Amino acid sequence: MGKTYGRVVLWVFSLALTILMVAGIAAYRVSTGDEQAIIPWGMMVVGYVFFAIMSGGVADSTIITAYIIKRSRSYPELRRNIYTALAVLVPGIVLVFSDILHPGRSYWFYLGFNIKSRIAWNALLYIIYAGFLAALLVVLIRRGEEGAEAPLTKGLAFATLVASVNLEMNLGMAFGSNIAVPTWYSVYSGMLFIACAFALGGAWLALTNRVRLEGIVSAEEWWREDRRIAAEIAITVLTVGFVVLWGLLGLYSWGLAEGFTMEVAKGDYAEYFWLGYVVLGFITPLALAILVLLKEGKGRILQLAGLLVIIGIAVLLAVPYNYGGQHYRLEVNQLYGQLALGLGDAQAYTLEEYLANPETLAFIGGFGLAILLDLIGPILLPLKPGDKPRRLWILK
Amino acid sequence: MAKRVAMVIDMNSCVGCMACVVACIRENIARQNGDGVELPEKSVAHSRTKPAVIGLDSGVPEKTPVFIQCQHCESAPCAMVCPTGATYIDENGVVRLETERCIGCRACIAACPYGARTLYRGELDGEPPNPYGFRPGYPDKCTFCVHRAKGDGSLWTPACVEACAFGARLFGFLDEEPIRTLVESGKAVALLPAYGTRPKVYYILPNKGR
Repeated sequence: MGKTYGRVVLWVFSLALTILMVAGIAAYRVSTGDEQAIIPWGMMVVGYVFFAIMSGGVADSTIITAYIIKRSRSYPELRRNIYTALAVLVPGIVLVFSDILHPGRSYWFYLGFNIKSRIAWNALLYIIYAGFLAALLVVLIRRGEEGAEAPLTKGLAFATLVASVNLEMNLGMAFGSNIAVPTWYSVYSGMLFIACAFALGGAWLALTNRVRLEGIVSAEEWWREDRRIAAEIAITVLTVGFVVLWGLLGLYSWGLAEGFTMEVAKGDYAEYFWLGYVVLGFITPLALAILVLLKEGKGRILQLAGLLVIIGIAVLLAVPYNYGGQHYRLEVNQLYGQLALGLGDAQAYTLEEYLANPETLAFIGGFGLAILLDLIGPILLPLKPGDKPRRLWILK
Repeated sequence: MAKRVAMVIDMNSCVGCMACVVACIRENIARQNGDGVELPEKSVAHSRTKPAVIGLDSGVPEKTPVFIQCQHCESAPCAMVCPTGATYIDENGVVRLETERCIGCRACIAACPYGARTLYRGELDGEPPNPYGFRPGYPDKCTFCVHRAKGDGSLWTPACVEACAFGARLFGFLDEEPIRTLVESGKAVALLPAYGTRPKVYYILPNKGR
């Protein structure tokens, strides 16, 4: 009874969030405001990057556990987790096409491919990653757990891993080479996004495992599973923290970006950085993950750790990284400040406007779509161990 | 190879009358619609040459007028990041936008360290005033009024240069007089040279007359 009730709540919750996403996208599409005049990238850009790296992280974690750590016990989870990686990617792709102003011309990504543009490479890498992920899922559904060791399955798994890490790195590098002072983030943004992807992948698995793996992981196996994910969260959260620190020190020691690090440490972005990322996204989940490692039966604590990592990294990417980078380029070029002061005519999008925007609804709603797809998957596809496809090659 | 064009703005001669801004709006932004004229809201912010007052730590007196506009960089970050090649550098070195290729990702706006590109998402009735005129929904930028070029390799005159009664704006080929001497002598300087973007719009700072 309790479990059925919980499932109903989850369906309603995810559907409501998905409706929120649609509403946010619709409001953004019809907006005629000037918000994007000079700070053009809002929360939908953060959203499509976030979901892509979280999807990559889920795939990375699953493939590394199965094929690099060689934990064959994880084979029953393989197809379920790979499906989840695809489900998490979908809101990212929806947000890409919702964000660009002329999506009908997207074919120019390929016809006019600009080899120097990281965004052009993203367009290619999204397809390569999604293609390998989908192919791996089909093979896992067709061959089942017995086929997990087959060369084709292994080959596809490693190809997916390489594609995913490349996409994660390139998404970071796109920010690095795009925002503000040319390339000022590039030094560390690729590495930061790979680290964030691994942390987010572990976090999403921690948050959703109890529902997703119901009937796949036995009651006595849960502690082992929780410990694996807790260790993953602890290591990756530490790695993200190290890369963030390393990046900020690098920026601080470069004259043009020194002021940016001051804004992060004690200026406009400080409360988001310290409270949103350092406390919620770093210290607390690290402590919680260690607690799970030390004590049995802390599944709920692990879920909380996962949720906090997701919130913390979302805040990190949304405020100091995306908004801060764009805003600081105007701060450092004081001509723009003078323009605004002199004419009252070209005010930059403030942080409050940036956050209190339909785009934020679209981003938050994206989590609903990911969960909804994750709930629909097992109804349509044979994702449980031993399940065989019966209809249309891959359907139940 | 075609000659590269460049602009020098002499801040000693500029009196801040904004005739260049008005000329730019008339030439590139405003749309004739029946008896009326359609303009974006905050039209000065969407002018392709935007007035500001300089406030850099450059020893320049405060309140000196300066203009934010596309710097037509030789190493243009906006052209580098454009995924579809919609932003490109033409044979004259003018950084341009082919709207038919633009998907509206806005990477070019984020990448411009000069904040020179702006986007307007409102609506305007009527047709743009010239083939490369202002269009809502696209990251707009200065084209040096390239629609005025005859296409025979000769020099043309941008609307802002034509409108300046004080001769504060010079437009010419980078390798020819008077631009060459002003640039080579260091009298005319680029903005934010540390970024390595190699702009082709130069400024003669106050008290450094021609």
